[in-house]
Amino acid sequence: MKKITVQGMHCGACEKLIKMELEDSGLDTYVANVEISSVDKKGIFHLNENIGDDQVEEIKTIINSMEGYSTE
Amino acid sequence: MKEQLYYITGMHCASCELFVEKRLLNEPGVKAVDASLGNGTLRIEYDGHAPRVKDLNKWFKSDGYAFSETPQKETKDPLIYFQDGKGIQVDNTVLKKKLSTVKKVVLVFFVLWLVEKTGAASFVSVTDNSSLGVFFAFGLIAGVSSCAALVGGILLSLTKSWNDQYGYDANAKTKMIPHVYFHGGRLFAYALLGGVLGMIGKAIVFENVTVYAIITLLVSAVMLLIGLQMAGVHWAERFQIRMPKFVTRRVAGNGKKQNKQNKQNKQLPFVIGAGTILLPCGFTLIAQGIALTSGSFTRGALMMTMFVLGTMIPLLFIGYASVQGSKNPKRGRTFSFYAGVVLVIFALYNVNGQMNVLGYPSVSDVFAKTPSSSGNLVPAVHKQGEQIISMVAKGFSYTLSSSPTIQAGVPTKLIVDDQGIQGCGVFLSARGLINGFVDLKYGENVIDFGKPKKGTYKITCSMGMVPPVTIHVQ
Repeated sequence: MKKITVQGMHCGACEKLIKMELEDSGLDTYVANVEISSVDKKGIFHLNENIGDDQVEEIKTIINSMEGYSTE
Repeated sequence: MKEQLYYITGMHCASCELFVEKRLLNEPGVKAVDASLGNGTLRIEYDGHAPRVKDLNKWFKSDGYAFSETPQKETKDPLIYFQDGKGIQVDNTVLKKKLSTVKKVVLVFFVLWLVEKTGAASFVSVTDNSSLGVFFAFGLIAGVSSCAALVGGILLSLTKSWNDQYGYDANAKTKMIPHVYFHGGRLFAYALLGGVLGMIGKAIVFENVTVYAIITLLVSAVMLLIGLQMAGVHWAERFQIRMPKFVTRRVAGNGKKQNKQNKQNKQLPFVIGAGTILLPCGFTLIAQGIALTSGSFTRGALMMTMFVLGTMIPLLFIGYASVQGSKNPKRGRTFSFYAGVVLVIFALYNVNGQMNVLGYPSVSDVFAKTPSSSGNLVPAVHKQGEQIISMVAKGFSYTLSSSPTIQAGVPTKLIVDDQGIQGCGVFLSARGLINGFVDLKYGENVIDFGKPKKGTYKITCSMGMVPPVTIHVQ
């Protein structure tokens, strides 16, 4: 399963906020689930198997353009 | 368009604000939303009907936010409470937590007090004939003493946001990048200023004590707030220092913005580092004063460069320690607490110092050495219509050897016998009696007070850290 690690996430609001941004571009459907480590300030987006590389990059671009979050 | 104000609880960070705003903008009729963590409010501009409190609570129930039309208070466990039949009770768990915090704070105070008592500054003194190596050693001492309270404090405050930006997993090398830019900025600004001072031989920045004091007070206020946040004081967390909302709300999905942001991330530490030149650290003023007399751009620039390189070592150590502290989440929280307490102490120390510089009441007044009897002091001497105040400057203190009370409207001179004053004490300030700072030279220094007006004035050093001597003009 593909995954994206996001630095700067520390709570449920971060998860919902990012998901809403992805929803605007119709990319939220590719997110299978999200794990958040509040102490590490890190989140891991587990993506569906059917997602293409371009869409992964698009998700990363959206997340990176949000203040306070960056992908690894 | 109409507007409705609600009160909201349960938000704890900027993401909560943005999430609430973005979610509500999807509702029909809602035109604009502003959620404020600091005020605990939610302002909605709408057409038609305002969302009902009942609906808001329903929509956000699973997110942990609660809405009302009147302010709500969050409750917390009290230390002392009243129980029916048992009377006044003390919650031992809360008491233990509070005592543990007090113990840690006392420990930090004790360590800082010990460091101050070492009097490291007395081991190094510089003159315009000193070698560049002496300037380096002088910088080294500055970096572990009074300059650490200012520049070290700023560095600790910034490190918090830099560490947050990179996350716990980033390696130490990456996290040290902003520190390198910060010190690069300092090096650039100090070398340039040293060169300019050496070339023009004129100080243009030393004159206004009040401007220096205001800059330091503002910096200290920010340090205090960040220190309280790092130490985990909840109410301080309401006052978040962050990018304006119009920036955080902006979402641009292209690589160009990313590059621009990276560039800004590097420029800002550089600019802040360069800006530390505006802070009235006594050691810096001494180095600047000596660079001024060098008469050469190269010599002045080299003096200041060596001085900054000296300060850089302890400051880099502070930065590296904070980066290492942030690697492990548990250790990071412990480090954050202690660093926060240090920051609060530095900030209060600076504020107290600037109160002295400005001539206002301060904590130093409580501990000031007052003569047991003014009769033991030589009264102000009237010589050719002048009155003379005498003072000895030695170590890290000024000691009055004449009466602290003088007459208003009479030409007055202060004679300072410098027997080896150290640190910021070399730059004497007496707001209201003199303009700017006086650079004391070893031996006798005569300072003209003109005809002082009625009032109470304080004589202290440029940073207000030398215990002040109070002069009463009647």
